[in-house]
Amino acid sequence: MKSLRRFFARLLNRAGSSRTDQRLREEMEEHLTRQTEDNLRAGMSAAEARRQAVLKFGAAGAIREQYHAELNLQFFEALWQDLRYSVRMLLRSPGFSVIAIATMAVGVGATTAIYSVMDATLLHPLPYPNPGELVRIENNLSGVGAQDVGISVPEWRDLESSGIFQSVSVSGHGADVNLTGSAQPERLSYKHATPNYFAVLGVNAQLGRTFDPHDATPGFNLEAVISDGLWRRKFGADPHIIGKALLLDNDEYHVVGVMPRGFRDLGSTNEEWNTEVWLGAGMAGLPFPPPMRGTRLQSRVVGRMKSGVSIAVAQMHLNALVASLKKQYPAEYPAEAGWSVRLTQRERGRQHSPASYSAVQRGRVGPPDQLRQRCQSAACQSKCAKP
Amino acid sequence: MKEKPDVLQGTLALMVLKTLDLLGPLHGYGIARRIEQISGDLLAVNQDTLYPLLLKLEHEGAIASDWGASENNRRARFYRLTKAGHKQLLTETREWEQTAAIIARFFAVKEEELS
Repeated sequence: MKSLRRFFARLLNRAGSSRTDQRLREEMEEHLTRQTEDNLRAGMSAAEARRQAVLKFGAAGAIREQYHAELNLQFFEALWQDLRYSVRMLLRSPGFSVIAIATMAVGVGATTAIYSVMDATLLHPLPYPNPGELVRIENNLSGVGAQDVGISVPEWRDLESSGIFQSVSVSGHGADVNLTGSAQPERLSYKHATPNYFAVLGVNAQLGRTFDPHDATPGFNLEAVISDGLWRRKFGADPHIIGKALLLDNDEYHVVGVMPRGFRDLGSTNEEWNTEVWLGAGMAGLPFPPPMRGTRLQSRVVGRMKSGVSIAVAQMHLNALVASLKKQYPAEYPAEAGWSVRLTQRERGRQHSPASYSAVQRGRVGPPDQLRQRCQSAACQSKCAKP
Repeated sequence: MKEKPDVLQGTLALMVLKTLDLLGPLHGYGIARRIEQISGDLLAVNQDTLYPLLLKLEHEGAIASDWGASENNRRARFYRLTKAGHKQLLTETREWEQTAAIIARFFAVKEEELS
């Protein structure tokens, strides 16, 4: 307790504070004056009295040094001095400083960029085949300045039957749910998605199956697909997990499949990335609102274009579809709302080119080639990343 | 001239506390003089240990200090014992007496008593 108090008192005594120095000087001066007076009283001459007093007092420098050693923590004192010294030196030759700092910044930045890309491409390859065909479908109402307003069920059906896409899936943005009924309750990220979700992504379950793409249940079909991570963490990689009940917020779902290791959901947030449970839903029956054209669902729409169709061509066909729908339903799509549908390629950030992915899948490109190819693109990206 | 022995720092703290306890608030010079005086001028208080020691005791909360006017109306820093310092003095006195008693017994012991 005592030493703690002393530690904080010393910590708070800022280095080089002139007030404490002044205090010691005054005390020392006072000490000498009194000693001199006492010596005078003892019968010494004025000069001798002072001389003897100084002699008795000892070396003032040594006293000050000892005093300062007690005053504050020498370690922080030295640190503070070094810091001030280095700042002074940096300011003395600003040109050199700027170049040195810039060199370090560029070095650190480039290294980070390269390793980020290596991490994304080599360690976390996107687990979707032919990602070039995957597009994000965004509904905008530019007339009222609204972006990504979601999709209504009739619009989704129109897109499905438009002939532009192999398939179009709608999913929620992801949310949290309580998993109960096991030893330890847990809060999980889940996402509801139309049953064709995994078919659109082109990924199959490692155990059991994903949702049946032709499932026509209007509401939740009470099937759950779980991530590899959840399966291992929560169920000890139980091989008999299929068919087991999963209590989510007290609703019972049945596990139909386990996604492969490394499968990650699409999404822009970490939470979405780390989705661990997917629930199948037609989104047209309770608890969803009735499937009206004007009722947009807060959702993420992902489509897989027909193979060999470029995004520009698909967008052109889509624009024609939108125009004809506007004509057909003028009440739902007033001209001033400015409804439009925009396609964006899903290939961004952590994805790599479809060519190398399929090549790797077919086993044509060995690891060294793969590495070189990716490092080239990594180098390119880090170059592009520089301002 | 024979050199006067310096005071060990551990015992100096005890002497400072006891002096302040006896005489009330004192300035640094007063403390040094009193200690030398009480020791019968056998001890010399080393200034480069006294002032750092006063600061250390202040940091520990055993003593407090304020500026005040001395007898001849000069500004001086006066040190006084705090409550915590008083308690520290009591425990340290007890410990010191114990140590002194043990040492005394070693000096007093005779060979025949141990056989």
